[in-house]
Amino acid sequence: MSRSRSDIAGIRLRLLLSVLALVAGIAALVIALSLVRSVLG
Amino acid sequence: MSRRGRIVVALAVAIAGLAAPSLAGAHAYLIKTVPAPSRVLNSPPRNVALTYDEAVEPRFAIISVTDAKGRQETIGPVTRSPSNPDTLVVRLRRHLPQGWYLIYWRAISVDGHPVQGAFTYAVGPNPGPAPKFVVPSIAGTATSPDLLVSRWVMFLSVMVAIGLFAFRAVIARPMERRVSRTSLHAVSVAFVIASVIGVMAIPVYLDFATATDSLRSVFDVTALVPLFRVTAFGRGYVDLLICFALFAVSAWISLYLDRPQRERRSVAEIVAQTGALMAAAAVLVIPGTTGHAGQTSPRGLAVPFDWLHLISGSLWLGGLVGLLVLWFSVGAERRVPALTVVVPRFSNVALISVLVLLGTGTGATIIHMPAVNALWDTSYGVAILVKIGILTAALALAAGNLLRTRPRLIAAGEVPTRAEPAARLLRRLIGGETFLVASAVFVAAVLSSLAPPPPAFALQNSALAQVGPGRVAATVHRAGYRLQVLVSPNKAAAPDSFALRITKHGKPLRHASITLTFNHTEMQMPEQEYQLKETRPGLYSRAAPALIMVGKWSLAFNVAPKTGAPFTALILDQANG
Repeated sequence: MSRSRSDIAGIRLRLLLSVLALVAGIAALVIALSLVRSVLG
Repeated sequence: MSRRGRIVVALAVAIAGLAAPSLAGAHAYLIKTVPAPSRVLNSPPRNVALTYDEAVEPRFAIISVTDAKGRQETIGPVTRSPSNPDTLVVRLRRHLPQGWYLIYWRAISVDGHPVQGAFTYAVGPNPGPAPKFVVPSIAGTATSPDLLVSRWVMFLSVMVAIGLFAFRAVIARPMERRVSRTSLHAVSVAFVIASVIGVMAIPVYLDFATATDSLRSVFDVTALVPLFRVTAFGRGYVDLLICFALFAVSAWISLYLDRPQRERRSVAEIVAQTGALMAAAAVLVIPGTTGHAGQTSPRGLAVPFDWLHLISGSLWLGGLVGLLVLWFSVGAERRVPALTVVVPRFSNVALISVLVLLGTGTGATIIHMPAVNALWDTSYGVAILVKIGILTAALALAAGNLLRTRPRLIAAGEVPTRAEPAARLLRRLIGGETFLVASAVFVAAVLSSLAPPPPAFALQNSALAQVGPGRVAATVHRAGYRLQVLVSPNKAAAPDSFALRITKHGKPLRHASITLTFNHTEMQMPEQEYQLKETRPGLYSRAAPALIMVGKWSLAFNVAPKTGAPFTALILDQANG
C-alpha cells in the first residue's frame, strides 16, 4: 500500500522532532559531563 | 495489587526520605593570613591578605578590619591578588595607631555556602592588652526561609518532572492498550506543569541565593544576573537550568510522538525517548557536582552516589505523583483495572529504587560524617536524624496501611462491589506517602543547605575532658602524668590565659617542650599553635586571643618531656562570648 504525501510529511516531521530531542539530550549530557570532568579531574 | 507489590510500595515509601539530594562536604578553607592571627607587628600593615584553599570570588567576599572601638580601617573593595588567584586582598588606612585589630571575613565557597571567621592582630611595639571585640554580625546564611523554600520547590519540581516522565513513558504506558477507554493524557499534562515550574524555580532559587551571597535585594535582578556565572555554584545552576530546559523540550517531543496504543515503539519514538532519558540523567548529575558531593573526597564515589540517589528518588517521587494523577483522571469504573496494570509495574521499579536509595544514602552519610556522634551533636547530623524520623513514620504508616488494605484489595478482586472502597483506600495511602516524600525532600533541602561538620569534629571523641564555659581548672591523667589545665577567663574573642601544670609522682615535670594546638570543632578554621613557656617549675603558660569564635574548641597539649616519650592530651573547651 502506497503512502500519501501527508503520511510521508508526517513521518518526516516525526523523525525531525525525534532527532531534535536526541540532539537536546546529547547537548545536556555534554554540559553535565564537562561539569563532572571539571570536578573529578 | 499483589502482596509483593504492597510490600514494595510500603517499603519504598518509608525509605523515600532518602530520596532527597544528599549534598555534603567541604567549604572554602582559610589556609594563610597576612598578618598572622594574634601576631604583634612592629609597623602597621598596608594590606590584609587572606589565602583560601580555593579561588573564592572577591565580589562576594567581605573583609572587615576594625579597631577596639569598632571603627572600620579598610579602604576600597576586596580584590583578588594578581600573584595568587586564591588570595583576597583589602587595603588598610595608612599609619594605623598601636593597638589591637579584629579581622572578620566572610566568603562564598565554590559549593555556594557562606563561610566566615575572625582573628585578631596587633600593631606594636606596645599594643597593650587585647580588648574584647564585638564580632560584626553580617547576615548571610544558606538556611533562610526564602532560600529553603525556593530550594525545596526547585528540587521537588525537577524530581517530580523527571519521575513523571519516566512513569508516563515507561511504567504506565501499557495501561492505555490493556484497559480500554483509559488515557495517560492527564499524566502528560502533570509532567508539563511540573517541568514548567522547574524551569521557573531554578532561576528563582539562583536569584535568591545570589542575592544572599552578594548581600543584595532579590529584586535587584539587573545586578544579580551578571553575577550568576561568577561562582562555580552559580555556573552549576545555570548549567542545571540549561540542561533541564533541554530535558523538558526533548521529553515534550518524546511524549508528543509516543503512541501508547501500540505495543512496539517506532524508531522516532525510541530516538526521542533516548534523548529525553539522556537529558534527564544529565540534569540529575549536576546538583552533586555543584554541591557538597563535588567537594568531598573521594569525589569519584560521592558524585555517583549523589547521582544515583537523585535518580532513584525522582523515579519514586514522580511515580507516586503519577499514581495519584491516574487515580483522579481515570473514571471510577476503569480505576481498579487501570491501577492493576500500573501498580505492579511501578512496584518493580520502586523495589530497585529502594535498594539504590538505601545503599547510596548510607554511603553518603559514611563519607560525610567525621564521627558517629556528629549525627546528634551537629545541626547537619540532626537533619539526617529528622530524615530518618520521617522514614520511621512512613514505615509505621505503610505497615498499618498494609495490614488494613491488603485484605480488602484481595477481596476486591473476588467481589467487584468492594473495588471502589479498595481504590479509595489506595488513594489515601498514596496521598500520605506523597506527603511524606515531599516532607523528606524539604528536610533534604535543609540538610544540603547546612555546613557539614568539619574533620576537626572527630577530635572531640579523643578528648580527656570537657570543660567550660567559664574559667577552667580541670585535672586529667595521661601517660602517667597528672595534668592540670587552667584557662582564664575562657571567653571568645578575648585575651585568654592558658596554662598546664604537669607533675609525675608529685614532682613537677621541668624543661619540657609544650605546644598548644587550637581547633574549632564546629567550624572550619585554620589551626593555631602556640608554644607554652615554663613560668614556674612544672607550670607552662601562655596568653593568647586564640578562642576567636564562640563554640567548642579542641585544646591539644603536645608534651615532649626532656626524657621519655612525647604524648598529647586533648581537652574539649566550650568558649562563650
